[in-house]
Amino acid sequence: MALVLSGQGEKASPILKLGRKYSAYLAYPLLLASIVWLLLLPFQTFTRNGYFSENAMMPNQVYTVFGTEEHMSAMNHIDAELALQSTAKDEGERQAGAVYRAFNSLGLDSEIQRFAYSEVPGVGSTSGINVHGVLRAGRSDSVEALLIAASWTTSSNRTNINAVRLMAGLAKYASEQVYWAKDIIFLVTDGGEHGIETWLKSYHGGGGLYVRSGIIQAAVCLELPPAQSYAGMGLFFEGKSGQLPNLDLVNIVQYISRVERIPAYLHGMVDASRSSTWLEKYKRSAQLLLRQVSSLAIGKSVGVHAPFLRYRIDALTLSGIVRPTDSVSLEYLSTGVAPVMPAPFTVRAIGRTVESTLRSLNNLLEHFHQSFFFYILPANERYISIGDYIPAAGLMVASLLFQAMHLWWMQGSDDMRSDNPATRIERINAYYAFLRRTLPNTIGIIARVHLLGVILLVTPIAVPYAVLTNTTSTAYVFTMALASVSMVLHISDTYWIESVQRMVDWKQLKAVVELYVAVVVGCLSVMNFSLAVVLFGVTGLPLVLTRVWTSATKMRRIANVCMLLLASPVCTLVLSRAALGLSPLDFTSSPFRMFLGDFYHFGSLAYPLVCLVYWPVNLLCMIVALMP
Amino acid sequence: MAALRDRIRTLLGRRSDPKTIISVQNDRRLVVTSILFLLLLGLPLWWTTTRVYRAELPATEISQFALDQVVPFTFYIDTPMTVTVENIERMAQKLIDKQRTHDLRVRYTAQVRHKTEVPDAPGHYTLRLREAAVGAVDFGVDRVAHVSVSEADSKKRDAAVAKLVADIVAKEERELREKKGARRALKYAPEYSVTFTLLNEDPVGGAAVSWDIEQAADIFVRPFADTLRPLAKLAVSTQILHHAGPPPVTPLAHDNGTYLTPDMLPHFANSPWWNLASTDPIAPTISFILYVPALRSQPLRIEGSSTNAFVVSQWGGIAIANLPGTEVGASVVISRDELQKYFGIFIAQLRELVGIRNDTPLIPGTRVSLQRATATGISSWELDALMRQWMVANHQTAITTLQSLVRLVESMENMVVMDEIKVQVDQSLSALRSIPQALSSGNQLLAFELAANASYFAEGAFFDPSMVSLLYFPDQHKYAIYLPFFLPVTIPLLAAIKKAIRRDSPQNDSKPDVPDDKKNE
Amino acid sequence: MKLSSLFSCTVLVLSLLAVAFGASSNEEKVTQFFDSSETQHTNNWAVLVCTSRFWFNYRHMANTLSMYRTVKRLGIPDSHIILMLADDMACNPRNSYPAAVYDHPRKTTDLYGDNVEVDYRGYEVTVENFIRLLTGRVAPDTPRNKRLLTDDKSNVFIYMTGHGGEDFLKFQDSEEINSYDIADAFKQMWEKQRYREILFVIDTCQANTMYSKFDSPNILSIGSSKKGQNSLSHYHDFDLGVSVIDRFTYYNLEFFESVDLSSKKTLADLIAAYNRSLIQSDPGVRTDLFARDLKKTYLTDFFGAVQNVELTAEAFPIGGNKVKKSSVK
Repeated sequence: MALVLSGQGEKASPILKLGRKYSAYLAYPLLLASIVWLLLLPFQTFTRNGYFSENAMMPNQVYTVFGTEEHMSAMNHIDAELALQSTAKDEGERQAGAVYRAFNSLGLDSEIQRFAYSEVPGVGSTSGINVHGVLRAGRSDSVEALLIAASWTTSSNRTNINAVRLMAGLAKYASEQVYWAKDIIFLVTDGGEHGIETWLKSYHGGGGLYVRSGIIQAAVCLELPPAQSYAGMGLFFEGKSGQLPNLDLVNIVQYISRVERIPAYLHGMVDASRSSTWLEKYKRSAQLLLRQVSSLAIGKSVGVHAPFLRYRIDALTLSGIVRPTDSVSLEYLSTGVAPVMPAPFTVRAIGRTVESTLRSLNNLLEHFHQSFFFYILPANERYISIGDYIPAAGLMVASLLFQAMHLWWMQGSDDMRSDNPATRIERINAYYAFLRRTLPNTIGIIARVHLLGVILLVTPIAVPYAVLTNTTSTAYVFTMALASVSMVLHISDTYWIESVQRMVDWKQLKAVVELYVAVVVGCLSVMNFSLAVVLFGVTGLPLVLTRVWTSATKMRRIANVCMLLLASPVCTLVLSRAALGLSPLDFTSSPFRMFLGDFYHFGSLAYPLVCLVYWPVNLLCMIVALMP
Repeated sequence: MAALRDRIRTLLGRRSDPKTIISVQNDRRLVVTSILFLLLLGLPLWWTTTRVYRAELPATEISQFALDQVVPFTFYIDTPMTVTVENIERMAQKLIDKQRTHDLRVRYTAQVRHKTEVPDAPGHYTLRLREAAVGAVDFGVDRVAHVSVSEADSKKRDAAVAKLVADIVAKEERELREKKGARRALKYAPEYSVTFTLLNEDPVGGAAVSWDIEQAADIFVRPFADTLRPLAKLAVSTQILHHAGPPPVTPLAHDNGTYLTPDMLPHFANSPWWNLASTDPIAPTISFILYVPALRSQPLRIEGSSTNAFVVSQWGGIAIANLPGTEVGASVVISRDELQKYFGIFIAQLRELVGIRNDTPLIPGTRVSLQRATATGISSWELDALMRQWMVANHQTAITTLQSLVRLVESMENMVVMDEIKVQVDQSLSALRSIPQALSSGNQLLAFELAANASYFAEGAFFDPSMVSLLYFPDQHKYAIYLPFFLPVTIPLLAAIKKAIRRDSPQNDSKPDVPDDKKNE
Repeated sequence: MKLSSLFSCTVLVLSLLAVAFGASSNEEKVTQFFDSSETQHTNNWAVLVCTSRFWFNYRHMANTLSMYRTVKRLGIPDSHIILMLADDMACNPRNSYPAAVYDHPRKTTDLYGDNVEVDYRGYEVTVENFIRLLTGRVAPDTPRNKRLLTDDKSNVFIYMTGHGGEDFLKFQDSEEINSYDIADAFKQMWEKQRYREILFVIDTCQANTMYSKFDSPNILSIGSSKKGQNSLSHYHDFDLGVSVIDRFTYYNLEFFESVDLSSKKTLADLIAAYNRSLIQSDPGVRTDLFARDLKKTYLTDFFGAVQNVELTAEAFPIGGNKVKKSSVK
């Protein structure tokens, strides 16, 4: 950056001179290159085959035994417990009590945890109840544990009782074996991700849990909607803030499930067959990649595995894929009555998949550390590692940097850029004088706009009620939008008058903002590549394209501002909701509340980025466009 | 300094003199010289502090240390007859030298004197001559030999005595190189751990056996250990294995009893269930087993043996005790008298394992008899021979160990040589240096002790736990560690030095570096 | 009368002859023991090292324990065996047959039954301890069973197994020993006359590189695979979920099943029995440092406990009256 910002008039190294000469032309090819790179990712010829890095796991090297009579009867035992009339206050208590008694009868150390949470901070309070049972390993000290979790409702809002039954069967199987080196924890929650998060917080030192085990090495979450049998399983693995489980876990679950004849597909999508055309394959891969990117950028996934990833527990969700013509499923959808178990062969297959996974995880001696933590998966059993996709982000950042270098060089008057050695000292003095005049103003503008962003960020948390009921949240967002526009106009007006004395230079402002966005996108791309790409798309791209012409006529300026308005957060939200078919003016549900809730509960970065980067940079672009 | 100050002022916006922005040449010179000075000071300091500590070993002395040894025997003639001791000595020495066949650098010599005060020490022997019809030599238990000479002529008598002396000395010198006993006997150690075990194979199908061992060991083994004490310590322990189980080889059946063939014997003592291990970490073990076979195998004989006993080289001995007439379920105690028989065997085996030679010098034409030391188990002649044998072996071991140590230390230049090693090497060398004097003054016991000490210290130095090469790394490691630190720093440094030199070189003297504006004025 | 006396005379003469003959033949046999010393070694030692830990390296433990059983069966006592096991498979919680280690899926022999003496276990199996053991530079408080008390008349059998590569062998997943270290240790052993002959057998990937740097005399080395080749495992037990034995060791053990205490099979027989297509790697033998002919080197020279034995001719008259022993020339 020092190289980019080095002053004029001083002796520059040959490389710098060359850079300054050609930097005007470099930014656009780099931008194009990054887009092309991203478009090339779905081509499967550029991806690699998945493999197991961890030698210790040895997947599928042992016979599986799940599915005996006793396991089946343990699964039916849950139904018996549920059918008992109890004096519980509500459905949640009744279910939890049934599971608690069932776990106890299987010999697990069980406990019920009651808690309350509010989805969005300060608004309302929902109560929830968790039940967990720990199977102690007979010959080992309880230093490590594996976990199997299920929520009472699936992501598609159907009952998940099949998963709870399967967990009981697995607990029965596990309690019969002598070869466990780690404890196994079975966890059932009715609060979805919030329930899991509360449980994890208590488990890891937050207090409130009496029955505990050791460090949890891995977790598998199950979602089995009512059906007679499943066509396959969907494998979901994204977390909040771009966290992903170790690729080894994803690979072994895929491998094991394929061997047990109930294959797990990523996001439930089957690969295009070998005989289809390359276009078909490309479209399929691109679709899968887009699903992952949107999951990772927004922070929303299917299943309850996301909270585990924050605690460095590798986790994923297995979700059963129901055929649309499944009779049991249709019956449930029409009557809403809890259904019977799926066909035995299905239950056995899924149970054996989980059993074999547990055996492999049992063999682990350390945390997953051998395989990749940063990857995207274009197809089943293929992967793109960070080394293969990060150059796209690098190219994006490079394009911003080159344009920033060009603009910084171009700031001020032309006589600051001559090569005449005689006037060297004068040039240096003029340069520093210019900087002394304009740089504080530029920083001031940036600070003022970001203050708006800070207000946007902090207000919903500090004054929750006022903001997040149905009508007020809509009003809030629109008020903020109006405030932003008025600020933009005010700033540009202020400096228009004083532009005669050159108190501020738009080139300098744009260069500093570009540097700032480059840093943000660069750092973010390592942590959460998808979010970085999306952020670049909505902030960096408009930034690069703002005021690219040499002379600024009024028409051009207005066109620029319109483009920026289209790219603004409010507009983006409206357009996306329209694309998803929801009412465009209702901001009570996702994504705004979802971002806010995720930020408050899970530390997800989407909301702060929108408030502190996206919104301010958008406004700054408008200011740049409107400045003289 | 001034230039820097002005530059800062400019940046801060205060009024500054634009003429004085550039001029750092003086600063540059100062910087370069200060760095060079620090380098000159720092390099020697770094070198001395990262050097490994190596104590100086007397390498040249060790590598040139002479292996030669001269061991003098002194014979005192006690006789009423006339003998010329100088003649005897001269002739004996010639005969000894003629009979020397080995290439060891050890020479045994004989000195012959008239009987005066004879010190009761190893190396000093009394020969009592007397007239008799047939020549005979009778070695006593203590250092006396009664010699009967039949020659009347004094010259022939002298020759006969000289021949006797030469035979005694030369035989022992020959035995230094002999392979026969060497495989069987254990090497010298300052302490041996001797275990006597009573093994009862099957008390259930036979009788429970025990033995009156305390008394027996006191009578039979203690005198032997006491006599041997000046040379080596014997730590004696005993145990009974009441239910040993069958041996690894099953004896073959015979008409009455069972027997073992000689090729079955090597595996006899290797049963994994016989706990014969010693707890002492260093002392070599000698294990003696008195084996009571199961009743159904009794009497168990070894084919070709009259004693039913055998020695395992460098390990110990086994004797088989058949107890006739025992009934099933009885409790038998092996009495002292029976134990005398078995301990006779054990002492014979112990003598062999320690290295005592049993045979007598063979002198043609003479009857030689040797009195057995039934009280202690070892006669003074045998003790002295053992002592000299061990002394020579220790002397050689000490020197070769020291030479190996020096070779090792020189081959690994980065290895730390602690002071303790030097101390031990010095002690070993001083002991070695004192040996010739002790020998020439006739004090063979002192020479033995010095040799044992020398060997002990030399081995202590060689086997010091700090001399494992893994703990030390070659010089390349040092460079690999320092390079990432210093290389990135030296490159700009060298560039600056290069610029400074270029600036000060003669072609730049004509154009002094003056700020541009000054020129314009 | 004459006939009977003739007959009795004949019998007498014949019996005397028989006794004389028997006596002399006895003496001959006795003296044979003294002189039949082509080998001149008096004891055998074995150092068996397993360098891998973790459950999925079960087969290395089973390799070492099978060798241990073989060596014990052929006669080397525990006091002369140094067994180094880097991890405990028998009591590993993942073992569905607790306290047992098998080297065959049919589980016919429990290698870890009773009477196993492990000298270095767990984290004591390190490169430093191994080198100290070989060179004799152990700490003064090391117990007797952890010392290699060999001398110049000992034959030492050294067996190593684990994960290896070119010129190195991995110890415990955290450090390595390379071939120069072992060569140096052997050189030190030769300097101090701590062995008569060494048989060095190694079963790892690229094992033959490990003996390429030896230069001390009387060492015979056998490796399981050459440079660039992996050594493969043989049986996989689907009950336990691990591979239980390696190919090279398995075929060695198969050969040793035909060897017993008195066997006259030689090392040449053993090496000739290696079948490259069954072992699926190229075993290598290095004989240039070994003085004897392999066809005359018996397996029991290394694997058995052929100890030199001598019959005791007579007892010493301890505690009795003074006795004279005389000899006439």
